[in-house]
Amino acid sequence: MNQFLTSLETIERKAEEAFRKAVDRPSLEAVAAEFLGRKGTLTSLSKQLGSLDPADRPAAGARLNILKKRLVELKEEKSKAFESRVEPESAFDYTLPGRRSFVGRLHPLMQTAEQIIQIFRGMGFEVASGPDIDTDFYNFDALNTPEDHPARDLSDTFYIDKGILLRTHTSTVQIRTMQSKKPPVRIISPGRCYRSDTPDASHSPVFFQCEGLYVDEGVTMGDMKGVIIAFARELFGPDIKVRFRPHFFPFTEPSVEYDFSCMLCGGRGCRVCKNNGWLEISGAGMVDPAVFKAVDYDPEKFTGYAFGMGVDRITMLRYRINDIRLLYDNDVRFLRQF
Amino acid sequence: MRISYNLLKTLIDFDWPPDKVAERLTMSGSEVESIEVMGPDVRGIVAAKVSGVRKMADSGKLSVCEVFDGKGKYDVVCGAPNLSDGQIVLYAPPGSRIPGTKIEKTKIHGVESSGMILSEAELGLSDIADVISVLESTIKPGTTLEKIVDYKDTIFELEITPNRPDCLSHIGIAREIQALGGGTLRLPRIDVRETDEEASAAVKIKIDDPLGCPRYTGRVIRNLNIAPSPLWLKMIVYYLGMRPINNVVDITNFVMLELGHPLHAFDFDLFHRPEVLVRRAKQGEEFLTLDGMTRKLNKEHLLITDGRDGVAIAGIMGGERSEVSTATRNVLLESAYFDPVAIRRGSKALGLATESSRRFERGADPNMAQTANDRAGALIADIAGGRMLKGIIDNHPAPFVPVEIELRPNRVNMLLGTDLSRDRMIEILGGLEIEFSSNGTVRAKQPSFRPDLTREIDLIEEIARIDGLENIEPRFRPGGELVTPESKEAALIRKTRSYLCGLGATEIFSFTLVDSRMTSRFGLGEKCVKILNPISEEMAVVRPDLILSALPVIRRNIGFREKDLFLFEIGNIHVPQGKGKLPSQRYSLMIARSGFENPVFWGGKARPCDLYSLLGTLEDLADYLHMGAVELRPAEHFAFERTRSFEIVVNEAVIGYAGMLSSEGCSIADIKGEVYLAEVDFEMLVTMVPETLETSGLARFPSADRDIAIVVDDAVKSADIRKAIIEGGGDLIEDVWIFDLYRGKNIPDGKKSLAYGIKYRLADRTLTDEEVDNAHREIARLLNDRYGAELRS
Repeated sequence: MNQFLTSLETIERKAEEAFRKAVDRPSLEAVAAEFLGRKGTLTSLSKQLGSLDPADRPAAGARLNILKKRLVELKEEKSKAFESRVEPESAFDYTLPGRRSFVGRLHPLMQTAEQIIQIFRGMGFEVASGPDIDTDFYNFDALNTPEDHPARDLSDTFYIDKGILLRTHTSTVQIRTMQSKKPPVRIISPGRCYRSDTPDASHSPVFFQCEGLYVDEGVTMGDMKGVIIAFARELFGPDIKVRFRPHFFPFTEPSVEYDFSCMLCGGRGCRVCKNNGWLEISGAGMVDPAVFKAVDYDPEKFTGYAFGMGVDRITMLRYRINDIRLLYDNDVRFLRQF
Repeated sequence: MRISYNLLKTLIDFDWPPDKVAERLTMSGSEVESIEVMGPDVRGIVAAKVSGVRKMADSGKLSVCEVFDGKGKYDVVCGAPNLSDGQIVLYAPPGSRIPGTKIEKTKIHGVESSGMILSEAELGLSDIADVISVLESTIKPGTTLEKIVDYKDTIFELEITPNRPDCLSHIGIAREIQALGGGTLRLPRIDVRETDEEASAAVKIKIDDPLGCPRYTGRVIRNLNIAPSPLWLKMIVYYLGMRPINNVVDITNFVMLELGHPLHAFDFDLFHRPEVLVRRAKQGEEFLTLDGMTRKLNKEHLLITDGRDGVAIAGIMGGERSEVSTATRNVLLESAYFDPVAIRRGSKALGLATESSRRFERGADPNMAQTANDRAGALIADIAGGRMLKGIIDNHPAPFVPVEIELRPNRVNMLLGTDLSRDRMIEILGGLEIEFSSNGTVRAKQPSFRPDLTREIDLIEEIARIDGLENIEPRFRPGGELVTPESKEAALIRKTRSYLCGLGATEIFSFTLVDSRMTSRFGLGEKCVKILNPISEEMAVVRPDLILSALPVIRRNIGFREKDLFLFEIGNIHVPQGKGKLPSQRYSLMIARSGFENPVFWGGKARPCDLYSLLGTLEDLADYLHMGAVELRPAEHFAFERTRSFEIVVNEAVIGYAGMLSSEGCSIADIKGEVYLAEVDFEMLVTMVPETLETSGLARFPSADRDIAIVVDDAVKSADIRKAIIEGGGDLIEDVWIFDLYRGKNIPDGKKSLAYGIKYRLADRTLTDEEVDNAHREIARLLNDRYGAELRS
């Protein structure tokens, strides 16, 4: 008898759970059939009544009936709940927004860097990297920037220790790469650089540069122009024009600055390009023989070009960002726009 | 550098309009940054003679006078203090124009004024504003301003690169235009008229340091009159960005701007002895410069002395004691050549850069010293009325020795990718006034005005830029055998970034320089790389981990009420390796979560982030990259709450830390709210990602899925239960997962209910019910034995 009653309790708990979990009419009917159906649990229990002690049978039968009533109630309750939830067709609001997953954003600087890397990888350049903190040999001496050059002023460079500094350009990586292998060398080196500029709309003490280098036998300035023009077209479209102006850098000669035609006005002149139709991008040039000597390359045998670009500058041009600080503040209201 | 179109025209015959000059200079390396047109708004101004000046009653400084413009006489009211009868002045009659104003008849204090008497500032000819401009008495009334002075000019603002000191002058720019084919250079005509008195008897020049001062020339001019310069001189000095001072000083400045050679004029009567001695300064020697500052010198400074005391810091600035003043009658005119390094170090040590030091430190032309002295001396004699003593004293201990450079024409074309003829190359050298001999090879001689030309490559650059970079044909060299595959690390960085972004995290690119106050409050002072010369404490330390650079980002965003943050960064961190050694640099991954897990939607409920939100992200990533299971183990971390501070373990290796920002951390970083942070050593992560991925076949036999719900003490860890389930089920178990954790109604205090799903399966046959029942029972028994777990059914 006790065992019988215990199984009634177990079944009640199981049934309650099952009815509660039913989410729609078919699943409710299935649960009802399981417990109340012709071949259901209760039917088999009533068959067991016969095997009980005759004295216990009436009480057991009564308890079984109570359980049956309870289960029918549960079914009815649930069934009503379904009915009340049926909405008229007109209440279906297809203008409600969908249930979205929230997707993050990649930082615009990294998006630009990725694209630059992709373009140059496609042209056979390998990505090389080096430490942000480096020695003055890699940052200055090997790059033909002698002791008394203005670029070495303490006011421009962050120093960590005597002879140890935060690199002011990623040209350090060029030297490290050339020291470690013989030509041909064809690399780009993206990375953070540092200069002790007080932050304002166009200066940041931490900035993001990408430089390129190609050294081999017979590399010419024409090759340098070709690769920069190809890059410009990949990044800004086939109509972009590139202009090369002579300039000066200690580590290249001849040195140039290169400009892209203004992508906003197509070179006709507008506010962004200060009406001259050109936007200054960065510098480039043929590797100075003194640099080759510093890395033990024979300048008579090998020639090469190097170029730089500001990943921040290009990002700002692409998205018309007028304050470089926006790129480093990491305000999610800004980042969500990408 | 400001360059006057009109002044250029005196040095070279050319007919390029200003916009062509700007274009050609820019494209040959002297970038024109802006162009300023001078005097476009000035019209109808004439010279006039003043008479009948009388003070006006009750009107303060105002006077009324008559002006005669060669045709008629008009009453004009004027407030200038220097107005007097007989002056020839600049008169703006009614109907004329000055910048910003059209002149009309007006009534001032009841008196009709027919136009204005002008100051130079009103015409934009100089900065002299408080007095009217008084012209030489030889100018006839009625002469138009155009005839008096060539005020309509175009001024180019040029960016001159530091290797081109020669271009800090009009002669240098004129030479560029000559090389570009614009015309032929001509030096100014210098008319030196000397007296019989020998200069060498008047002054001795001694040089103690011939390395610092390889050349010193001096001229003596007697009996001159210091006065304001004539209008043309004031105007050109002013147009070129300097302040007119007096005739002698303006002339030295003018000659510097014209010929590029800095000069200095001393009041010779103020010398203690009639001599010049150039020597190094003594350590700590004090000197009063003409700007009224007492300067402390060191042994690097070159000092010009009169044999007793200093009179000028060589190449940088003159002294106050011997400065030319209105009382000056006799002048010693210095035109020297100083060593660039000496001047640069001296200027740097003093923090004093002048027009003169700028030129000397880049390299002046030693051979120009005498010409510049003659030019200035002749102008002084002419304008200030002095008498030049006979001869120039030229102490020249170390004459300029030009470098001889061999130029191989085929090397030029090889490097540039051009097809230039040897004749064209020679033509360019000639235009730049580089002497050469040409038989077989070309041998060029470095000009004294071009310190930058010492190697073949320097000449190649000259040829490239003068011929025009636009004439170099762009070529494209394909990749060939150099194409290298992307590194595993680079590929994983890319993959991780895009996966986290897809999970909902936003990438940040934070400042690598962090606040030294923050790192020291976290107790990391000695563990950080410090900058010796930071801009501010805010950016004084190179980040030792990414959490530190993320905290300011989190603070900023929460401050702008963006509280639901899910951020990540992959970047470099830097750890000191001891004095004199480069710090180590590693890639690290940072993940931060705060606020709600997901945006709130109309049908659902927002869930606040907790440690499991963060852990879930780590598990998702580990799963995606096939790294193995992620475990947390209690461990200390400087930023985390003690009870919510863990190391991240994968394959029994610690790869990072995860936890909740401690309340102290919140106060250090000024952040309100719960922030969960993880930092993973990305380079270790890379080693955990298998190089290759092997797939397995799909199970062919059905699984048996069972649940087990147990009640255990709160202290029992779910990972232990999981282990016991796997142990109890043995080989039959394919997968185990927890799907419910419950405390509350029907569960006694101090206990919790855990529910697990278990998938039983064998690879080679279908399991029987009995086998599964036995395994399930064995699991229940083991859980009960080990953890007192009671089944909940």
